[in-house]
Amino acid sequence: MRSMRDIFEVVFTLIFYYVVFFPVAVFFKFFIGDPLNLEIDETRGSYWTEYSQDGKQKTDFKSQFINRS
Amino acid sequence: MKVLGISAFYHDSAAALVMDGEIICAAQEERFTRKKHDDSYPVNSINYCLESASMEAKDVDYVVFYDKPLEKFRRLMKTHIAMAPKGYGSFRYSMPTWAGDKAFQRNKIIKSLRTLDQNVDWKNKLLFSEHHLSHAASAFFPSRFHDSAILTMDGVGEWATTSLAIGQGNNIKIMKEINFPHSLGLLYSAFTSYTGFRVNSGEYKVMGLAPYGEPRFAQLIKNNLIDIKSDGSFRLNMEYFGYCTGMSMINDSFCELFGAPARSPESQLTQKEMDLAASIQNVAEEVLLKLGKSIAADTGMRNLCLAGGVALNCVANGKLLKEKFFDNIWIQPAAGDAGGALGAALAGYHIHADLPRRNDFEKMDGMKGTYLGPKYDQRDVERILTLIGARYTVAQNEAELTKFCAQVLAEGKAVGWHQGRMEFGPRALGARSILGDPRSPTMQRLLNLKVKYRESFRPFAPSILIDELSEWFELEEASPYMLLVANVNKKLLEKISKDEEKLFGIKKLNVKRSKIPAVTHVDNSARIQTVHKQTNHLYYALINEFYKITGCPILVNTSFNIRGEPIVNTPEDAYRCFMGTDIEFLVIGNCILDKSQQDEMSKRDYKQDFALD
Repeated sequence: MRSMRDIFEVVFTLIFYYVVFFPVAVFFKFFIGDPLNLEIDETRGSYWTEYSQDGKQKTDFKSQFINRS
Repeated sequence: MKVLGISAFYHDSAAALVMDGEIICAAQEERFTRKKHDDSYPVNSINYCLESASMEAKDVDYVVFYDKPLEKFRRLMKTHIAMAPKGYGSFRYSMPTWAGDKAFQRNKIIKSLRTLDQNVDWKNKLLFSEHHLSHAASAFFPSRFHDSAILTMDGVGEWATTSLAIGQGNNIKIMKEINFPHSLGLLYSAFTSYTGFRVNSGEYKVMGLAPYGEPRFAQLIKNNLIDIKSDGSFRLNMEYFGYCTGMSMINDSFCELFGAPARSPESQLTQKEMDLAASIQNVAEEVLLKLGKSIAADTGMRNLCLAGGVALNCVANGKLLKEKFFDNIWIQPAAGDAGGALGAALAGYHIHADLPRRNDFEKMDGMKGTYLGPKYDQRDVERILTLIGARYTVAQNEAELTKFCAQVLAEGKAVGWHQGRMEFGPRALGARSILGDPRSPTMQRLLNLKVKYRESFRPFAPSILIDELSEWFELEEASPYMLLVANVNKKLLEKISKDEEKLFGIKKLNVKRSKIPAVTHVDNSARIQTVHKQTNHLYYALINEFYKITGCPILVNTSFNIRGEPIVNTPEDAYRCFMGTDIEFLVIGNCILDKSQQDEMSKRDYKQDFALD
């Protein structure tokens, strides 16, 4: 049998998902685009994300170790 | 400097300790809790590490967690955004878990560390490495290479599923990545799920099943599920997968593509599952070989280090080695997430603290044969065995012990072998192993059905003296961690009749293929462990004795457990497994236990204690 907590979780997440989260997701996807790069692009030569080319630096790992998760 | 690495909260929790650049100890939590793939905070492993190094918690300079939980949360949120409105099922399940628990992992770890010593400022000692940096560090720093390309591939870390890094001296630079949801590990897991095996543990079975089938679905997979570029980079077609939006790896479209629903776990295996296994293995090998070729060309590196769960695919590793894109390949034996604990500790030591690598790796790598776990001295063993009512005799010395064991092995008996420090990583390498005679045509069936209680198709691995390797297998490199597959030497193969050649699927098992049939898979391959005197002299001596008696320098080596059970750790675990199976002899330290001499009342069928994997 479901506990009250389970029922509350279902109702809360259902409302949260469709009233708050879904509109945000639509807004995000419309203005920013696909956050997961899902598109298969047969014209591309490679699917690697190269850190030296796109401006992102992923080489200084000392700063990566700062004690936050 | 002392750095403790931890992996936890996903699967395969573990802890590892690095002291002044040397790997002192490492252990996986499941071995202590007896819960396979245990993901809980590794309190037992941490305690073991501290005790093993005779140090107190306050002596630890840094604790490094193997990934960044908040980055994982970001990935989860972005995935839900990308998939909306499809992903409510997954959202409903994951959000309460994250809101109530996972988002506060840092606090959880600090709280747990305080139970070790509440006067230590753990907040300032706790660091977080990135998941793939941890894997890369676990592969590069213990290797013998001064510089190397490092390829890591797994299901997913924070974002990365595949990464290429360059290791030089005491530094690692991540050069490029392929990010979630495009993952070779998850693609392989999707087929693991579809063929009716358990995700995160059944991948090994899919690899073992592959040689029974034909890769007739490989083109279908490449046409629909994965786009592979010439440099080996890839993207998955998410229309066929369920892991972004639901709680399963695959969806209805995936099943429709292959014309049937997923196989039910434990139901009869058919030729179709074997062909699917062969097909996904074929695709995985194609990706790995293309990656290897392009990485060698782009980086100019002559060495390659591998880690991440995909690096446990020893068949693909063997093919990569055979292509000779690199002069040397080294694979982290604990390539999965447990090894992340070790990588985190090494990354903390070398990269964060900027301390140099040890340079005494001229002869061996830094893993010490991966014998990094707990050991039990002779007095402890005798005390424990007496306490649990075991009947045993004690060999006077190692020579007497190895002679006796080699003799009973040559007579076709199965021997449980519990010696020295436990292995770190998923493979048993002669410290917690069940051993047998590879010349016996019935040994594979016997061990699978009467000892391990597992599927009859699964192959067993040979342990061979390093000096005899080239005489028996088509392999020139040492393979101390059982991570390379190569063919049995042609001169040792038996002639197969025309009728036998025509056999399909599981019937292939009944054919005697070589002079060492118990370790020869149906495609004449073997997953080889080379045994070295420097790292395990007792196991080396045992095989050497067996060699003297039989002329065969090889033993069947399988992990000391039954299906679904973590590999045994303590002498009690070993005795329970011994008494619950048809193993005829158990050897712990210098103690020899003969099954026929044990109290019948001690026999207990304990298969039900473990969920099938």
